[in-house]
Amino acid sequence: MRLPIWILAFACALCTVPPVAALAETTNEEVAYELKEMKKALQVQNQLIQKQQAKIDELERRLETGAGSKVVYPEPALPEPTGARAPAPAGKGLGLPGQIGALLPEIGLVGDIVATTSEDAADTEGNDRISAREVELVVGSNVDPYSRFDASFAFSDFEETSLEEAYLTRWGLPWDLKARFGRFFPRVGKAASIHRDSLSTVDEPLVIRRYFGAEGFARSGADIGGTFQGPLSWVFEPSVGILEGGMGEGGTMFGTTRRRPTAYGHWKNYRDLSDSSGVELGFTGLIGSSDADPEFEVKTLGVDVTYLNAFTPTTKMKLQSELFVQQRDESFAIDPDTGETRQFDRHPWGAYALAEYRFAPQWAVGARADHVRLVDSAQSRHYDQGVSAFLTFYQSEWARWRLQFRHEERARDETDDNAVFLQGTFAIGTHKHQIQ
Amino acid sequence: MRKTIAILLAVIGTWAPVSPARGEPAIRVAATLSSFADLVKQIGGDRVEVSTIAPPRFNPHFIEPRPSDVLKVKKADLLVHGGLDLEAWRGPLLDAAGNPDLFPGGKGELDLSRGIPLLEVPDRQLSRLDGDIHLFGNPHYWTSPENGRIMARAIAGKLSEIDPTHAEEYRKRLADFLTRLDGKIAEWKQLSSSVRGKEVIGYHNEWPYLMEFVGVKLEQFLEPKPGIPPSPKHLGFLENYMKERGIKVIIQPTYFPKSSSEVLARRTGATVVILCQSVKELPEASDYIAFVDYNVRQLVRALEGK
Ligand SMILES: [Zn+2]
Repeated sequence: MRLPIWILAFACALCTVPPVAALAETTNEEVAYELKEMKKALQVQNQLIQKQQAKIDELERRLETGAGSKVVYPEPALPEPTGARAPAPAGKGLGLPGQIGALLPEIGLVGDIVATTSEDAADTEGNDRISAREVELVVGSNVDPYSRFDASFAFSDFEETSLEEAYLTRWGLPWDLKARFGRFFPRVGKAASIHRDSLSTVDEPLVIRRYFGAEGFARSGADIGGTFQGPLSWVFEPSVGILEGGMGEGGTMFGTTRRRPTAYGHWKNYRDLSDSSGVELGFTGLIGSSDADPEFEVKTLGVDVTYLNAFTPTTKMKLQSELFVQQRDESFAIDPDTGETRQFDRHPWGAYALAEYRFAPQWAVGARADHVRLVDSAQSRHYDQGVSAFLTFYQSEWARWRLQFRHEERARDETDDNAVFLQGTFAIGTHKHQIQ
Repeated sequence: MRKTIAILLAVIGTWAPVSPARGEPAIRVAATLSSFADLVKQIGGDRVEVSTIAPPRFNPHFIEPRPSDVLKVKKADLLVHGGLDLEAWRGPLLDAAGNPDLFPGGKGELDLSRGIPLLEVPDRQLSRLDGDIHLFGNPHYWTSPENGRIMARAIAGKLSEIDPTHAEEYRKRLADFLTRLDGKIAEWKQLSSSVRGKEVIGYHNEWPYLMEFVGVKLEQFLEPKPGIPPSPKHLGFLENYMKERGIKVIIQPTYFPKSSSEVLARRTGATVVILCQSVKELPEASDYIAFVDYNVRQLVRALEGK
């Protein structure tokens, strides 16, 4: 036992000696370097004085020759004098001087204003008017070195204020796993798991609206996941979670009993195809309940495929498709008058396909096709379907306009609906795009 | 059964990353930009395994990191980044990777903007009216070889801190690099002496450090504010401005559309010159010194009207 300690001590001694010697050399080098830098600074200042003198001469000359009638340009900024240069601020700030901003959370506001003309008879969601559909207040910050807390609140001019998200993210778990706790968007497919303002279209795809809810799928619960290297350059992102029961606004996949939990799992597979293109294949599983009894009679399998290619720094293409298939074990109703049992579709499914092409730095076009089989539908036609086409104009990184035409054929009353949307999305404050 | 396990293990073994020195794993470095990655490779040599996040042919401000980038950051021992508000995507990427060592102030984080004498530090409170980028001063500092010297020293310092047993190796490589760089700096100064005091127009305000180095004036940009695309009205203003002063050169990197610059060039008889914002953005800019060399020569050639 004594021998290894000796070896260790010897090794330590070996390790410490060279850096000490190196330190002395570094100091000499440092002094020489500083001297050189000072000489350089002096040179720069001399040049600056000469430049300024030349400018003064030029201005005086112009004054004398009366060159005042020429076009007046904004006063060109003088080169920064060396003394006015500031060292870089330490750490990150938010545009506030010094450390004032250090303890404040990041705050952002995203406004989603939609003007709609529609044949739909319902007087909701802003049909035939301009609507402040959603104003989202996003607040987030690190809690401590191990975790971060994010919350978002949705305000609208036709719905009550709602808590969209409020969750803690905890890092540094075994195998570098990450856990979330609170209310969040579970990783269910692609479209249902992101904020509506991050979508390519004005509205959620039909299958998401019918099965999960008009604003995507935010639930309270807990989940855990991580990113891992798979074979052949694939990146794996598995996650599992347990959520409260129920769905988002208008969603029909599970019932309304929130105490009957929903379990979910997602496996994302991503692979780079080049330095600017990649493909993603995801699988989602959901198990939940359509009523208050102890059975978990609804099981859903989801598959999503996404292909992204940024051909050039200003043109890119996105192709995306998602399919959800349900297995509903108790999808029947008993007629109260006749006592007859009526069986509904036991395997309703829905899918969409979307293509988007950003053909110029500020312009994108795209289209989406939707089809969804309705849950427990007694209509003779028990599916909804539609097509949409859209044009997006990016005014800047923080302001975007989108024009969308949507044609939908609905099982309800067997009606068709044509709608035109003009959407403006504006972000102020901190605006981060989560990695999708 | 045992044979099956052996085969299985062998298969798994082939997935494991191959490290250069057997038994002595290299330091895994994730660099946000290719220019930083190249400097790390030059100082770290075989001791580092460097990956780049932003592809060099894209605008470093607006990258959409991918799951493979999340993995690079998650696995890294060291994250080398540009600091300030250069990489707007850095925060979400760090959050997604969840590697606490690389968070701001962590032991595996190197912010290269520290110690750089920044230009254009705002002397008033900025707002989105200013375009919302370059809030802390101009973050495109690596384009000046003088700052290359500061960055190389910072990298050597950080590598020695993480891996003290090889500190001597890093110091040698640093000295080597600085000798080569200083030689070239003298050459570039000489080369650019003929164009000092001339003026050019830029697309985005990303060249003040290089311009200061070569002594060329650059005060007007196709973007009316950083990050805001050119407008017809602003192009009209620039046309007058250029004609008034006889400005004959418009500079821009590869990733902005050339259409606006070309329209302006046609109206004013100027030339559009492509400079590299990042190492490897063009094949000629194969490493840091080649990158500065390419930019200085392109600029001088255009300004001399050759
Ligand atoms: Zn910039």
